[in-house]
Parts: sequence; structure tokens; C-alpha cells
Amino acid sequence: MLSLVEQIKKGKLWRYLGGVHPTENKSQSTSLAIAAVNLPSHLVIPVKQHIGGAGKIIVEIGDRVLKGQALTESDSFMTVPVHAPTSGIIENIGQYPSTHPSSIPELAIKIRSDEQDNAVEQLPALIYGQLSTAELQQHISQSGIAGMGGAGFPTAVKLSDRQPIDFLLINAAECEPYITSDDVLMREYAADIVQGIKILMHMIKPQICIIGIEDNKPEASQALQLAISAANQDANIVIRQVPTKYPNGGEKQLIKVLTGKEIGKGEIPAKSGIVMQNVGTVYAIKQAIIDRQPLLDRIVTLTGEGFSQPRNVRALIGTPVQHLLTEFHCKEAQTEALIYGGPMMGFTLPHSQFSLTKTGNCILAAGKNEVPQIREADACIRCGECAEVCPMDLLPQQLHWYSQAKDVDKLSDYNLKDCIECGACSYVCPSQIPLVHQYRIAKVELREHEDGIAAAAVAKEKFEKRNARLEQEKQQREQRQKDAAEKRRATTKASTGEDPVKAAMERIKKAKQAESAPKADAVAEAIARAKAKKAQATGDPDNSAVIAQREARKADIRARKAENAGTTESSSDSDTPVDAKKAAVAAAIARAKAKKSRTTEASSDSDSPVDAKKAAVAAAIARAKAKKSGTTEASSDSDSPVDAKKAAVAAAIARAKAKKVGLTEASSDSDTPVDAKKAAVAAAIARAKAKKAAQAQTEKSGDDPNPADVIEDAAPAVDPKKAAVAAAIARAKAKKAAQAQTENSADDPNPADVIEDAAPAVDPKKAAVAAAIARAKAKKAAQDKKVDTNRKVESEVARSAEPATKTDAKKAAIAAAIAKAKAKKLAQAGDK
Amino acid sequence: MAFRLASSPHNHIGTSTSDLMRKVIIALIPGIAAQWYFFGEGNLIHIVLASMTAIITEAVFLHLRKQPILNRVKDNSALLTGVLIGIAVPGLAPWWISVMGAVFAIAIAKQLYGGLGQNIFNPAMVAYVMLLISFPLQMTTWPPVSEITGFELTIWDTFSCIFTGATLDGHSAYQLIQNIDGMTMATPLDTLKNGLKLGNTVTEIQQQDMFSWLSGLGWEWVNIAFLVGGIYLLSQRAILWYIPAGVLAGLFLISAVFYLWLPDAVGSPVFHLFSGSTMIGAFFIATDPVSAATTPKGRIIFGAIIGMLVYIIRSWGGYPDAMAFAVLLGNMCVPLIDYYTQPRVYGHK
Repeated sequence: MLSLVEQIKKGKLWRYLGGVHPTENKSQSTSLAIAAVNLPSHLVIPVKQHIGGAGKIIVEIGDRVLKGQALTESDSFMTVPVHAPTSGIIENIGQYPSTHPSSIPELAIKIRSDEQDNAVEQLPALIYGQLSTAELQQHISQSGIAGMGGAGFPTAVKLSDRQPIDFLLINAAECEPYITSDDVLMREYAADIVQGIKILMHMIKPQICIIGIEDNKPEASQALQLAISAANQDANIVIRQVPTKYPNGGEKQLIKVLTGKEIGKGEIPAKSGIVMQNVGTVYAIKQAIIDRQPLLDRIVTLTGEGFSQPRNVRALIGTPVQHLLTEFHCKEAQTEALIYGGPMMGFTLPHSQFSLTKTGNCILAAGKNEVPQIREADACIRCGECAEVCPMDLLPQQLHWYSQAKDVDKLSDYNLKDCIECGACSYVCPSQIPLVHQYRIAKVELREHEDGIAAAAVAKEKFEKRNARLEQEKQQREQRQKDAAEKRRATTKASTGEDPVKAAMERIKKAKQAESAPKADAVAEAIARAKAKKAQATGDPDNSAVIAQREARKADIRARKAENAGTTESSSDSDTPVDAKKAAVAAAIARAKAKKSRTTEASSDSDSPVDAKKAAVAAAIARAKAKKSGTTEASSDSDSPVDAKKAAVAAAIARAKAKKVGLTEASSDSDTPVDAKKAAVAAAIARAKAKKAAQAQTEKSGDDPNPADVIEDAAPAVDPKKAAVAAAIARAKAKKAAQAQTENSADDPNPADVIEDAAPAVDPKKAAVAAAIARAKAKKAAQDKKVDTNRKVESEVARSAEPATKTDAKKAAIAAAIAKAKAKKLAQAGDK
Repeated sequence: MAFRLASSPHNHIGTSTSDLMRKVIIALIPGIAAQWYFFGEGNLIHIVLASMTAIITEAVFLHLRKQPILNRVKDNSALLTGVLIGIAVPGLAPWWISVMGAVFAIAIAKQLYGGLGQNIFNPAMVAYVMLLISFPLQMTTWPPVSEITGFELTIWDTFSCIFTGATLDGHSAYQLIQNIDGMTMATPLDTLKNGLKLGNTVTEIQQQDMFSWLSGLGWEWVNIAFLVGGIYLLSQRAILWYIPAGVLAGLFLISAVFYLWLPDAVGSPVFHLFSGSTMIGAFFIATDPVSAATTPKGRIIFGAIIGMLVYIIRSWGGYPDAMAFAVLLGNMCVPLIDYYTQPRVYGHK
């Protein structure tokens, strides 16, 4: 079994399935020698003519440049610099239509030639045998060499010696019809090409170099063979004539034909030990290393019925296409389409105001007979000709169906990305379906789809990380709070000798006992509750349950007062902090109860205001107790037993009012009677107070109390209790207003809109301010109720007054706790 | 100056769908001529009837679907379907048989599925099966070869028989197919099958007049003529070799197996290859690109399935000739075949 190299040396060739045989049309342009082109008056050199990044422009408008001077510089091999093809002045650096199917404007440098064609100083030839591969790569890159076969890949990148290379393949196939630029280059410059091959062989050190040339180029083949023999390279360089078939000149196809290897999906040939270069690129490398001339010009085939004499010319990069058309007598009247490149893979130019690029190997002025008639595509009849000719063995008719259906999953299943857009399938389709056009569009859609998935994956990862971070922060916060509570407990224990938590638990137990002691009362209460429920259903107000509850409440309050009084009588100053602590604990209990009632009940709007009220009210009670036990405050008239009665009365009134609005307190009452009662009581008190205060204020300042005025008014009453109470009142009012409005417009206040405007975050002052604002808003809403159906106002009102969320109540509770703590501090200060 | 804008490639081989269909119709001419020579002008009249009906039906439906009529009809696909139906029905069948068949094929089996390129089943075969199941008597009254009948049918007789149900002499088609002994003459395949059921050997059965050196008298020449047409199509690259090779190889192989096992109890492979609608099925009916498999490997499998089903239904099914059923069953397998016979793409393992 011979090794691959030996098989190749014996002349073995492989085949691939597919390919078409379009009419060659090459003989028109090979009868004449390469012609020179007159110097154009101006040249437009695009900054990026290759795959990779654009170089950094190092000239400015008005600079005088010489032929061969670099116009851009690059810092990596993927960026290829461009050079001035002739001497002149930089006339402009700006956007010019790109020589590309899209004609999208791109950055280009316009040089006005000065007709002198002065070149930069000529450097001596490099002795490449003494230079390393990296140095030669640098020279090649700095000479602006990119692939001249049409793709424009930066040549220096391909020529690294990092990977072992077995085969250097020279692509001399030129399989597209009409194009003959490589053919005449080989005929006239065969010796230079062999020199270039020697440079490449020094750089990458392959086992053998194979020149793949189609068998329709016998003269070029002969010329190369003579040059190889003259340079004594017969052992290293072999010429293989491949059958004339399109697309034998495609990189993947030629590799298969010459070496039998297939380049895997997504891989580069270097991985299989193969480097392929176009003959034009090899010639340019020789010019760069030996002649020390950067890439300034190239051979272009001018052919087609539009040209009276098709031929090859040597044109400067950046030459305007119109200049070529004019100089070589293109009959524009007979030109149906101006194609840049060959008929199979070239693109049409809408006009001739483009410039020649490094990859432009042909300008085809196609006459009417040389391009297919424009006709509408028929339906696909599944004849399968396209699959017969596909050089990549794809199934073009399936790709057609799925690209029409935009089925991106199936398109990637059927390997749309492997399509090399050679055009063989469209060439043979009997229904003349523009298959390649459809695949180009489908490729874009496929790429967008995959980008979308990738972006979604990134977003998901970010989201999960953020969630994890928030979770972590929350846990840290809770941990800190727990530690702080522990510390507090420890310090109070140390300072007072009593464990406050234990004391609180005992108190709770006692309170529970007091509550549950009258069992008979509990039964009676249950009966009363049932009656109340029935009454609610039937519509008659049944007060017996309420009366019973009232009695129970009174007993409880009395018991508690006795307890407090007992503790205050028996205690000295040292008890004040205890009471304050007790108050703190009671506040905590109230919070917990509020939370419990919130979680046990369904989250119905009608219950939550009671929750919020409960919490705030309980907090208010706590504060009141704290005040009573230590602080000396004015207007603390909510503490005396007399107020309990008033509270009860006010509670009844409040309940009645609430019922009128539509709240159903019965269900909530049955669950936590004591809390509801307490809440209602304090709420009533609060409402009365706040109403008085508000009335006083409105009388003072007119219709709409300015928030600023309210601040001033509220300043003396920095009473935290008052603030929260006022907030509660305002909330109730606004809720009523909101409810009335919802009845009108059948629109629930958006819970999402609810933020805690009414519940101040930190400051009692801020609480007062917010309360005042809430009041103002409520008033405004009440005024605008009939007229303004603006949802914004409604939601604002709802937002400011809706205590329907847990956060609101929680914030209220927090605010209350903070306020109470402050009060305690004040109490301590006052005591001391 | 502005030039035309188009997407590459700017080159085309020059074939079109209508050219393709036209080539197929031209390749049918030898077979039609053989049929005319041996079985009379009946099929010619049916071809004309069916073609005209098919084109008119297609035009009507394209108009209903608001599609351009002239462009679509010009692609000759309706014409081809009509011709195939005309060839497939017995020569002396009433006129409404082929008309109904053509309408059914175009309207239901093709246009209702979405028009050209969208039908799952071969339209001509769908129509044939519909006719065969609905009108078994008319569809099995095959005219015998002119030589061995007692009657001489002129073209006017044929016309009369098709359009009025009786020849000028007043004979119905059914009467015409009875030979001198009063026995109803059937096709060679039918005769073979019935004879084998009665317990005769193949050698005995093939003593009858209607059998000849390859298969049945007349039928063998029709098949040879269609084979010639098929080879012409292959040379013109209008069809590819996968499907005909698959059909013929499948039929040959399965009949060879049984023939080697029971030589005198089954028809020989050659007999099967040149009887009935084998050749027209292999080259013209199964190769209908729209309803056939699309991948090369898949096409061979598709052809083989049809070939084997032809033999199975001929031998053990209820009908003497099975091409239509086999093709429809093959059409049903196409999506599965296509999915599992995808070729290996360059660079993939």
C-alpha cells in the first residue's frame, strides 16, 4: 500500500460527486497578451479588501504619496494594509460605494494621480533562505497580500509553520467560465510563479507541492512544466491536470481531487496538513519578497459580448471600472449585465462607478445571449437534478422547501451552512428556481436565529446569576438581623439581667391564658360569630356577637392595664426601659399577628386594608404604651381608660362606614377578633384625630393643602404615632375613593402600581409628609372623581392609598417599629 | 449607465420543465404506436379525450386558484397525465371512463394537493385505481389482439363502441372479447393467473394463442416499445437510471427467486418483465419526479419496492395487473425513504 505522497507522485487523482459543465467561453480572451492599462486620473482604494479587519489609516487628505507607499498599517496578520498604486495626492478619505453586491458605502482612500508614477525607494531582494517563516510572514503581510482567487483571505495567516504541512497545493484550476486571468499569468510569468512556490516551500516545508490545473489549459501547463524543469524543482513540484468541471477550482473540491482528503465540517485545511494558494497570490508573494513590491496591481480578464476585443489587462488596484470599460471599448448598449467575477459566482454591478479590488479577477460585460432570460420560477418538480450536481452532496431541493418555509431547524439539519454557493444547483434547475439566492437569505435567517439563541442563553445565565446574588444578599441580611437581634438580646440580658425574649414569651403565654380563660366566653363568641355570619348573609345586622366581643375586649384591656399598672407601680425608673422593651416586644407580636392574619386569609382586597390597618394600629397601640410608660408627650390622650370607651364607639362607627363602602369584615373578624377590634379602635381614633388635624389645616391654608405647607404644619407634630395614624386615615379615604372609582370604571387598581408612598420608609417626618401628600391626593381624587377618569390619577390615588399589599403593611410595621424605637430613645433621653 | 441586477449564477443549462414533459410524451410514441398496431385505435381516441379533458380541467382549476393559466398549462404536465390515462384504459372502454379519469387525476389528485410539485400520489395512477375499483367491468374488458379475434374492427367501429357502447354492427365491447368458443378472452396475465388457480402448469397455459415467445401476444411488443422509449429518455437525461433500474431489478429478482423455486407454477422473470404495464410503469409512471423519492439511494429503494409489489399483487392479489397499486403504495413510502437515505455530505463522517 503506497503512501499518499507516493500515490500522488504516480499521478493518482480522486473524484467527487457532482459538478456541472457549463460552456467555457475562455478562448475569446486568451488570444492576446496581457495589456497594460493607461494610468487613470484617480484611484479609489478601499481600506478593507480582504477577510479580516481594516487597517489604520496613516495618511491624511492632502498628503503626497509615492507608488508603493503604505496607506494603512496593521498590527496583526488578519489585517492587511493597502498601498498607493501610483504616486499622487490624497484627495479624499471617505465613504465610497463598495465593490460588493450590496454597494454599501465603505471607507476608501481616493488618490488623484500626478501622472509621474514615482515609486518609493527600491529595496534589494530578500534572501528568503536566510529568513525565518515568521519574518517572511511579516513581509508578506506588510505587502498587503490577500488571496487573489476571489476570497481575499490574508495570506500571511495561512503560511505559518506551527502545524506540520504535508502538501502545498497551488490552485491553477480557474474553473469558472470566461475567466482566463490565471491562465495568461501562468503562460507569461511561469518562472516567477515557480520562484514564488520556492519561497512558500521554504516557509512551510511541505513534502511536495502539487499544482492543480484544468486540462483546458495545455499551454499554461506546458509553460509551468518548463519553468519547473529550468529551476530543477521536478522532484518537489508536480503538475496534475484535473478534468475540466465546475467547481473543480473550489478549495474543498480541489483538495479532494488532488489528495483524496476531505476537509471536515468547520475545519481548516491546515489541520489536515494542506495549504492551498492561488497562482495569482503566489506571483504576488514573489513580487513582494524578490521585487520588494507590495500588491499594487493584478491581471483582470475583460470579456463578454460587451467588449469588442476581450482580453486580459494588468490594472492597478483601485482603478475605476469605468476607466477600464472606456479604455477597452466596452459597448455599453450591448451589455445586458456587468458582472464582477465569473458568471457562476460573480455579482452584478448596477453601474460602473466602482473600483477594482484585490480580488477582482474578471469584468464580464455580458450580452443578451450570455445571461439567462429573466422569467418567473416554476414550481419545484423534485426532479433531483440539483442533488446530482451539488459538489458538497447536499440536498438542494430539501433546502429549497425549508428555506421557503423558513424552517431554521431543518435547514441546519440539512447542512445549509456547508453550501459553498457555487451555483451548480441553480444552473441545472429546470424550473429555474433561484436556489442560491434563496440559500443566501436562508443563511442570514439561520444565523440570526442562532444568534438569538446564544443571546437568550447569555441572558438566562445573567438572570440566574443575579437571582443567586440577590438570594445571597437576602440571606446575609437575614443573618445580620439575626445576629443583631441576638446581640440585642445579649446586651439587654447583660444590662438588665432578664432575658427579654423569655419575658416576652411568658407574657404571651399569660395573655393567651387570659384570652382562652373564659371558655364559655369563647363558645359564646363562636356562636356570636356564627350568628353574625348568618346575619351578614341575610342582611340584618346582628349586634349580639359584637356586644360579646366588646365585653371581651374590655376585659382584656382592663387586664392588660392592670398588668401594666402593676408593673409601673412596682417598678422604678429601671422599669421604664423594661416597659419600653415590652412595648417593643408587643410591637413585634403585633407584627407577627398581622403577618399571620395576612398569610392565613386569602389575599382579598377587602381583607388587606384591615391587615394593614391592624398592623399599623397595633403599632400605634405599642407606641402609645411606650409613650405612656416613659415619654412625656403632649396630646397623649389615647392612653386613658376613657379613650377605650371612645375607641369602642369609634370602632363601631368605623366598622359601619367600612361596611357601607363594601368591605366585608365579617370573614376577617371571625379569624382574629381581637386584632380586628383593636385595629378598628385605633383606626377610628386615628381617623378622628387626623380629620381634626386635616380640617384645621385646610381651614388654615385653603382648598388644596400645599405639601410644603403641610410639611410646616406637620413639623411640630413629629409624632410618629400621628404620622402613621394619619397615613392610615389617608389610606382609608383613598381606598374608599379608589373603590368608588373602580365601581364606576370597573377597573381594579393595579397592584403593580402600588408602591409605598403612604408608608414612609425611615423618617417620621417623611411619614408625615407622605401622609399629607396622600391626603392631598385623596382630596384631589375625591374632587376629580366624577370628572377625571384618567387612569393615571386613579392609579396614583390607588398607589398612594392602597394598602393592599404585604409590603405596604410590612413597611408600615417597619416604620412603626422604627418610630417606636426612636420614641423609646427619646424616652430614655427624657428619663435621663 | 445602469445594468441589470441579478443574483448569481448568471448562467443556465437551458432546460425547462415543459421541455422535460415534452420529451417524455415524445418517448411514449413508440409504445402508443405498438398499442395501436396490436389493439386498434381505441387507445388513440382515449388519449385525445383524456388529454383534452386534462388540459381543460387544469385551466379551470388554475383559474379558480387565481394562478396564471397559460404559463402553468404550458408546462405540459397535464398533457402528460392525460396521455398516460389514455394509454392505461382499455381501448374499447366508454368515453366517459377516460374523461372521468382525467378529471379525477387533475382536479383531485393534483390541483387539490396544491398543483404541480405538491401532489403526493401519481395523478394518473390515482385516476386509474379509482376507475378500476368503480367500474371493474369496463376496466377489465381488454380488447384482444386483432389477429386472434373473429372480428375486424374499423376505426368507425371503435368510435362507435367508445361513444355509443356498441359497434356499428351492434356488438358491445364485452361481446367483442369473446372468442369463437364463447370464452371471454382476458389479458395474458389474467389468463395465467386463472389458469394457475385451476391447477394448470405454466407450460400448459402458454399453449394458448394469446401467448407468444416473450409473454403475451401484442403485449410483449408494447412493452418492448416502451422500453425503447425509456432508453431514449435516459439518453436525453430526462430521467435518471435509479428508478427504472430499481423497478426492473426488483421485479426481476423476486420473480427469479420464485421461478427458481417453482419453475412451472409461476411466470418466468422475462414473462413478468414484458407483460402488462411493466415497462411503461418502470420508465414513465414510477419516474414521475413529483411523487417519487428524491435521493439517489432512495430512488433505487423506491423502484425496488414497486417492482416487488408488482409481483406480489400479480401473484397473490385480486387484480391481474398491479402497477397502479404498487406505484401508489410506493408513493406512500417516499417521505420515510427520503429521510433515511440522505447522502453523506462532504466533510461529514
